[in-house]
Amino acid sequence: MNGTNGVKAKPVITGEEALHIESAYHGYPDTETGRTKRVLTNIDLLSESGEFICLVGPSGCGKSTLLRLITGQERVQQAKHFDVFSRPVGFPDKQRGVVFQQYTLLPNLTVAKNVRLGLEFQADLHDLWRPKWRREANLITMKYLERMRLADAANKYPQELSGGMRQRVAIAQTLVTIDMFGMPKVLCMDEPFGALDPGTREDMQVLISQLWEEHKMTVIFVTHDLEEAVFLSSRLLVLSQYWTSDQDDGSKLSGSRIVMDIPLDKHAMSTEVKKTAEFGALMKQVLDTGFNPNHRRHVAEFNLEHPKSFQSLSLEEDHLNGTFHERDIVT
Amino acid sequence: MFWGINARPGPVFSRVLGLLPLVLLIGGYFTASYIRHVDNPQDKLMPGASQMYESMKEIATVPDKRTEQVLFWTDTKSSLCRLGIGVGVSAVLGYILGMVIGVFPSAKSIFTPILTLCSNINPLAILVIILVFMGIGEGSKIFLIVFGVGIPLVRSIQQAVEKVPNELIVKAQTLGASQSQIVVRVVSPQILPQLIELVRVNLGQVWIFVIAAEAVASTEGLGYRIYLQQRYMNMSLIIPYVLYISAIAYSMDLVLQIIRRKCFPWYKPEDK
Repeated sequence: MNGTNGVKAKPVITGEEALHIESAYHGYPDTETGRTKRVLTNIDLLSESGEFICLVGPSGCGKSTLLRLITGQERVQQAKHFDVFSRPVGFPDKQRGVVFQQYTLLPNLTVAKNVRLGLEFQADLHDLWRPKWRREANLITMKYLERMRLADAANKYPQELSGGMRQRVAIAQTLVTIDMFGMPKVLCMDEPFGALDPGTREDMQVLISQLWEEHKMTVIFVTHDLEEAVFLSSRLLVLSQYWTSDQDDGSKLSGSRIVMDIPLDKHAMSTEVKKTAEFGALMKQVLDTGFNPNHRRHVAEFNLEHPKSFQSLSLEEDHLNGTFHERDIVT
Repeated sequence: MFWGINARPGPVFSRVLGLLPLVLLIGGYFTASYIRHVDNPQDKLMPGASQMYESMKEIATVPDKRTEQVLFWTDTKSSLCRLGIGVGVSAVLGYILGMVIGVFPSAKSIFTPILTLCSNINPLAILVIILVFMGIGEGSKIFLIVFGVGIPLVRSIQQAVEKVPNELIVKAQTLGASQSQIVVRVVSPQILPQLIELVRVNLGQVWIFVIAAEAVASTEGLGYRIYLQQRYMNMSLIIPYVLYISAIAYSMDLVLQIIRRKCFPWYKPEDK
């Protein structure tokens, strides 16, 4: 089952995937050499909808870059496929909600008006003045404010809120359109809790887990905090620049690859689980696989346990096609 | 105790310290004026308070023989009109054009070179050119203000727009905002208090251009009156006029500050 299609064969595409990324490469021009410095190398990722994907990796591995490619903030340089819900990725739109670390609230609007914003943007213009629509919008807004424990802060301005409250507003802002418009289908979060203190952070982790279970939505969550990632994810992706292959011993720093892709048993739970032995063992395994520059894994030894994970041939291997037969399959 | 880095003057002492130079200045003037008047009761160079009062009373109550209008009020009205229209046009231009340039990269490419060129031209240096081409009517005066203040305003607004975090624009797009919704509902309301603040800061410049334009080509206005009275060395009118202009400028500044605070309670200038 190997041979023509890389180290691990590509699963059958059903057309139901939230994400379909194949052989994606991305980089930035290096100001010193004038050549492109590659950040992402041969990224392959198939994701069913409803997964809580956490993306971790050493700093500088390009995990935020990958997320920006998915949200549409940047255009991928080269890829066989870079599809979101079976359509090539476009500029940011209502299909993909985002939650950043900060700066996403309008300073001139109160909390309630900030949350309502999405409803007003997506409504038909003539609906905006209809009392019936306005009542419904108010109800939905209140529902999300209460769900995010923000009802008391409805008439405050963002500057008056604590960091944790601001992030709850930002999440409510993103989710509010689900009831009325069925959007967003994917929630992209880039270090959303990175600026919060530890206690608030754990609260938010539990909250986002519960929201994920309630809405059964696809979440792509970038974090540098391994513990957070293992706690939250139903699928853990480790992106790392520390790898080797027959063509490249990794010393050329030719960009990060997905070195680990495993399914995790995920349900909303208490943060107590972080203290268990299994949790610790898993964290150690992830650290060994992706975070150790002195122990680079060979391309064929990546831990791609997840049933939907696959590996396509890299550009270099494509050129050498035919000489790549001796590699064994990891299934 | 009173001096040095570690001095902490109390509120009353601070007030006293602040009044000191003012008292010295005003007291010094009136003392000098008094001494001059002892020598020469007709002295015009340093008029006393009563002389100033008489001059102002005449110009503010007695209608002019030729035009049958009270000059003080026609001067005030025409200067404020010029200032108001000039500021209004500049603010609207700055707000709209600055927003478009700040939001749309192609508009920035189009307008940046010409704005850089224009903002490096001294408006007072081309006043003569403006007068030759546009005549000595109101149009040329307002054009001078817009050229001198509107263009810097465009650039300041553009910079303010560019400081709006990109994350916010992306977020709005993911909430389903169209490009026009982003401009109208996301960016422009955030910039409005900064526009008011920028207008306030630039009012001093506007006054310079108003007075300069009136001095060169005008038949009425506060600046015109000052330059006219210069021919007669009529200090008893010039000094109160200067104080009057300063008082108007100061109260405009206060009013704009109050408007900004009352209408935009969420705006915190120190954040920016």
